[in-house]
Amino acid sequence: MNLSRRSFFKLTGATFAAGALAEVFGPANALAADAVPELRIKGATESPTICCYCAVGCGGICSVIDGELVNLEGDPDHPINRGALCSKGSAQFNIRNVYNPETGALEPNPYRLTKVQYRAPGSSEWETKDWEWAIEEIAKRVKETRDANYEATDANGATVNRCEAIGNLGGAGLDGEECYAVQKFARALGVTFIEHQARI
Amino acid sequence: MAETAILYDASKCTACKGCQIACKQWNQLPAPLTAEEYEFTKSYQGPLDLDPDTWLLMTFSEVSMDIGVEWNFMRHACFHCTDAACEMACPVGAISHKDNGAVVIDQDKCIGCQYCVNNCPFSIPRAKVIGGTDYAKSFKCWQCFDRTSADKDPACVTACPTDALEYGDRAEMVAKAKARVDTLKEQGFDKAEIYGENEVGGMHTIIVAHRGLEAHGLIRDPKVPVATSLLDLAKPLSAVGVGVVVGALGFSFAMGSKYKRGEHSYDEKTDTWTIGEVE
Amino acid sequence: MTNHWIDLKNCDVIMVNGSNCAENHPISMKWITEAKLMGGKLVVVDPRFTRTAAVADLYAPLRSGTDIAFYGGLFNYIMENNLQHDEYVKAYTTASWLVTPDYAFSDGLFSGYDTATAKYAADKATWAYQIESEEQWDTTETGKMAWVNGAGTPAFTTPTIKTPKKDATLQDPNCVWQLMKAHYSRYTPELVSSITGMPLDRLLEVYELYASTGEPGKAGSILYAMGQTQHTYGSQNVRAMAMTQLLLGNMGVAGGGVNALRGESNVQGSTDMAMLFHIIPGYMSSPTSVKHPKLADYLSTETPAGSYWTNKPKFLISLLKELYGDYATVDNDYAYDMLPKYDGSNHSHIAMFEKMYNGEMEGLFCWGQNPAQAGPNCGMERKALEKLKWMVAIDLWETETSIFWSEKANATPADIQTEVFLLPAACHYEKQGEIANSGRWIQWRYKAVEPREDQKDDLEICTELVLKLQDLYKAEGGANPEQITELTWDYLDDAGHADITKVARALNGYTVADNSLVKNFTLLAADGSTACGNWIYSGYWNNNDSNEPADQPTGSRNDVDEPGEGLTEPIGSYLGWSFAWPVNRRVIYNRASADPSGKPWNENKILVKWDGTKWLRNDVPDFGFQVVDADGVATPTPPNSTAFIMVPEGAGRFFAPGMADGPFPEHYEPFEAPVENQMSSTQVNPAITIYPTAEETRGTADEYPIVMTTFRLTEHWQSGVLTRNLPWLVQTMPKMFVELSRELAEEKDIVSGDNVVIENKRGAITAYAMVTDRVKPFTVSGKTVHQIGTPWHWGYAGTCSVGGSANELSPNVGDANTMIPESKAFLVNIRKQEV
Repeated sequence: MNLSRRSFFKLTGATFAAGALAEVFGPANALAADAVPELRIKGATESPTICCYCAVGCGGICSVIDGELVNLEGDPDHPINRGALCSKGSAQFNIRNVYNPETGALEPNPYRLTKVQYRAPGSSEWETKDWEWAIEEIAKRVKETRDANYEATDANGATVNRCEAIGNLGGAGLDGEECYAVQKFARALGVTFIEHQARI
Repeated sequence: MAETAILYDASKCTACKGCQIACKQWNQLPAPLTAEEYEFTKSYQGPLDLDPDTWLLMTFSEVSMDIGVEWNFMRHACFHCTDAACEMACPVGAISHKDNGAVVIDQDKCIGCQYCVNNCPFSIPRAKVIGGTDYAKSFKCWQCFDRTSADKDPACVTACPTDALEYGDRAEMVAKAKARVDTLKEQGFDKAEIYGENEVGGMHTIIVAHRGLEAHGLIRDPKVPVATSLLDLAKPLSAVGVGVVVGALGFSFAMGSKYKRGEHSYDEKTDTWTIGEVE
Repeated sequence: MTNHWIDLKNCDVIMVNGSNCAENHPISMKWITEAKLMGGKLVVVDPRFTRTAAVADLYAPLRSGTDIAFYGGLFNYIMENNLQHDEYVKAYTTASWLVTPDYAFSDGLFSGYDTATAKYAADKATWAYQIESEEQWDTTETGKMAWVNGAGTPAFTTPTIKTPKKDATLQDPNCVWQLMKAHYSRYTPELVSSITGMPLDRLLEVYELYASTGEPGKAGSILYAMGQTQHTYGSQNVRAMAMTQLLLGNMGVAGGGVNALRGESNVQGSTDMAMLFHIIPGYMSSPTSVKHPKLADYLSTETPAGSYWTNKPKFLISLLKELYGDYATVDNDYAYDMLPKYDGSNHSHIAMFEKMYNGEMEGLFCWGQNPAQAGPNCGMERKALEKLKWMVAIDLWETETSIFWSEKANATPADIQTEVFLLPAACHYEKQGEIANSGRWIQWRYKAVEPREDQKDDLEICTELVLKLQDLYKAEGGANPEQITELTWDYLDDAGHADITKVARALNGYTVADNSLVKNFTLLAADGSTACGNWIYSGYWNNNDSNEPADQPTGSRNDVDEPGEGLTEPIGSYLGWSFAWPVNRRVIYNRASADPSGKPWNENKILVKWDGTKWLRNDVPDFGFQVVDADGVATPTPPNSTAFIMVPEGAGRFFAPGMADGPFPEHYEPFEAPVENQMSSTQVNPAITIYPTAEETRGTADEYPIVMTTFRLTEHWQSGVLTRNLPWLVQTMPKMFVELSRELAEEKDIVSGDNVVIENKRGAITAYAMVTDRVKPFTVSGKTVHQIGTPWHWGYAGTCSVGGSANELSPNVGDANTMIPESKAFLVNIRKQEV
């Protein structure tokens, strides 16, 4: 039977259970004379991803068991990398999870942000806040700044509808649809200082 | 299962360290979490050496030329020797050859004596105390025996972008390496040579060293320590015989071990080991 | 990239100049290695001996900042020795076009320079082509441009088609070929060697090897990255590469092209989406109050007479329909007024921070960007941030930017009044969406796991802000509320959360009447009947029968490289894998891979081929290869000589009147240089903008004699926040360091492992010394010039690894065209840190 992983993704959409694949390809463990340790991703749900670092666009496979990422390695079907990944690509797993040096246990990367942080004027520390508060307060700041600095027309009477007191930076790490949405949002505020990593 | 091997072709390697981290990723090996635990290594090599949680290390060495340098890379990891000193030295049979030639430590059987650590001619196995216990155990590359058993390449091989790493039937890997050495010589790499075909009984890592063994930091004609091979011969014999050789081995491991020699001992009457503590 | 990653296997010679692909795009080496195994050669031109150089067939060191001298010498070598691809040059380029006799060049200055403004005349009158004849668009009912008069299409002045005068013999002294030959005859190998510090014999070896690709059927590729762009003449570096490829017939062929290896996973996509001040989505100019206050002004000035861009009005009106939906009508100029108009002055990163530094900005959003570490002269940028009232940072981690106010940043928190909101984001596999790689492949990423705790994806965060602001403006009014309240934001699922697939639909485009996805951008219209967020993405999400990414072109996963119909060998296009913009084309300008009669230059590497009756294709043709009538019957279009349909000339440009700093690349020294310019008395690119904060901190060679360059490592990424928090990566490259030569180390009494201070007027950082023969001093006009290099991945944020930021030292001065900062060549001094 000549079914590739590709066909499975096509058949089932984004993800599929690796267990099913094992049946098709038959690793023939039973034939091995040695006691064979079980593949630790057996039964995991796999979903394809694209690496977050450079723009080669290498494919990866995320293996998920009980809702948690347990493995991330190169996608063997991806025509650009055929399963290969560099050091950064191989370490994508670490963005979410690390192994504890003392116990060896899988744990969330302790440095990831998990809560909204707020720094008040003159303060030397963060305060943890919730989303509702943050969106409300940010929207207020945006509106105040926009309304106070808005230019509807310039000195020549041309309609300019801009707000040059707000800047918008970033995007190269976002998904394309997100980029479109963010610049659409910024331009709808009248923002002209829209820039991202491509410029530097 | 036929004998298999990893082929490392240094002439194709860019030292991206994809293999080094893929090894940690698949084998779930941690790295320190705080900046204080790291030191500057003075080169692109990191960390400086293998450790119990680093089973594969890319090494870097450079030779100055009129213009630029010769920058030589090497994949430093277990060679999976046929005459495996670690296996011979292991008093409890925790280290064994799989049918495909992979040399694997059974952590359940390992008693932390570190004879493997101190007898490997390449200093590959490394021991660490297991969290929450007083026990040390030895660790090293196991050629991803779980993956190869499931028809997957070892994690390092899968990760390699340039096919500097390949995995397959050993005879085929040797043939490939020889052909590659011939090609490299034609291209002007006069010192290109193969490593692992016959060394220590034949290795299950075959290497193409395009600038010669020494340039890549490989030991020419490595030998299993005599005492180690004696132990291997002695294994089928009585416990008394084993005790004699163990004494000789103890001498060798006192040199580099973090463990106190005196606290490591084997009682042949009761067939039990006393394990040393970390200094 | 004009080409793509897999296509690198088709190269005969690969010249890596200003890129370090083995370290920064490691998987590129998969395909470069494949090319090498088939006999291809790898040449690396770089100030540093890198891991790419380690596997090169030929390495040539070049003093950082002298690329144009290197390329000028190459042009001279090729033209003097007649090594160009003659037929290609004559058929497909502007070599034969005549330029006005008013064009002149003298002592580093092109004609039209105004010393008072330090700019070239905006009309570029002396850089114009001589015109043979003029004609108007045919907008009659049966004409090609009849759509201009369609109901609902806004009125505008159509452009005039100008046919240039040509001299096919290339002998006219005013033809581009002769002007170019004269310009570069000054770049002799000896002079180039003296400027670049590249040993003469090595220089000639590189020239000879690369020029060998001028032979018809041979393919040479040039790979570059920030090593070419981060200079005050970075755009001219890129021009020089394009000219090289045109000379040698390497543009548009398999294994050829000018290939920008882009550094972030979606920096191609974020550029496509116009997260830049000067463009709106799909590479259309941002409207300015000066040139285009009204829609008619925009369409009249921005629509070119020729090329595919003649369709620009269709793309713009479709974009406006996407932005403002039903609110956008022909009567209100499709809400064109709602697009903000800047005043035409530079609004780029450097300009923005200058304005911020002057206290003229109040608020800033940072979506995963880290200017406090990554911006040029970043110490100055942190001072600018202190002037803000508020800042919103959206990130996975604490960044140097989000804690610019902290003691870690050597700041005094009590003195800084900026409010900072730091919002926790989801990482790439905790959400779904599309990203575009360097080869323009738009690939879908699936969500593998849920984000933890309060982490959210950026689209959700953006959506919550938009909806909240729409509510606020509806409730309270304010400045021009319609600009935000009338904005379409129908990207919600039933639960009211952001639904990224709905943004995908908007980007692909649909017909307004029935909300049906358009197949591709050829179906977009200028009459308000279609909406499309980004015309170049049209086609990536066009399946009306499913909303599953896996059923869309972007999600397609056919990993078999199939040859085109009628062809036997595939070429690595993988047309069934994902979707490449535009229209799934993998090699841009692929018409040029065949001669004017349609015969491939290389029969073994076919992209397109005219078989006498039709085009055989291993790629999606980048030209009008057939005409499909109303009944869907296709009539093949026989070959002609138009190979570059996206440039107004329709031909490859050796002479570029559109540049801000001259139609030909000319060597100037960097803003801060260790030597005087040997080519002319014009020391620095005369058209660059120098802000006061840059001039005040400019260093001279007397005080700061050492050239510094910045670089990246395989083990880290950009500002380092996404790698210095990952223990596996930190372990492989744990500390900030500086690479310096043995000679300089001896001079300064430094050994490997010492802590050293690197400093100039902008700042001082410490780093560990890595003394290595990979860096060697240059001999420049007989004088020894030392160069050092540091990675720029370190900073004070993060926990696994912190260290000095190289950008504390880089100048906030940029390229004359793009304002990309000159991070690759500036001056410093170095000393051992006193213990």
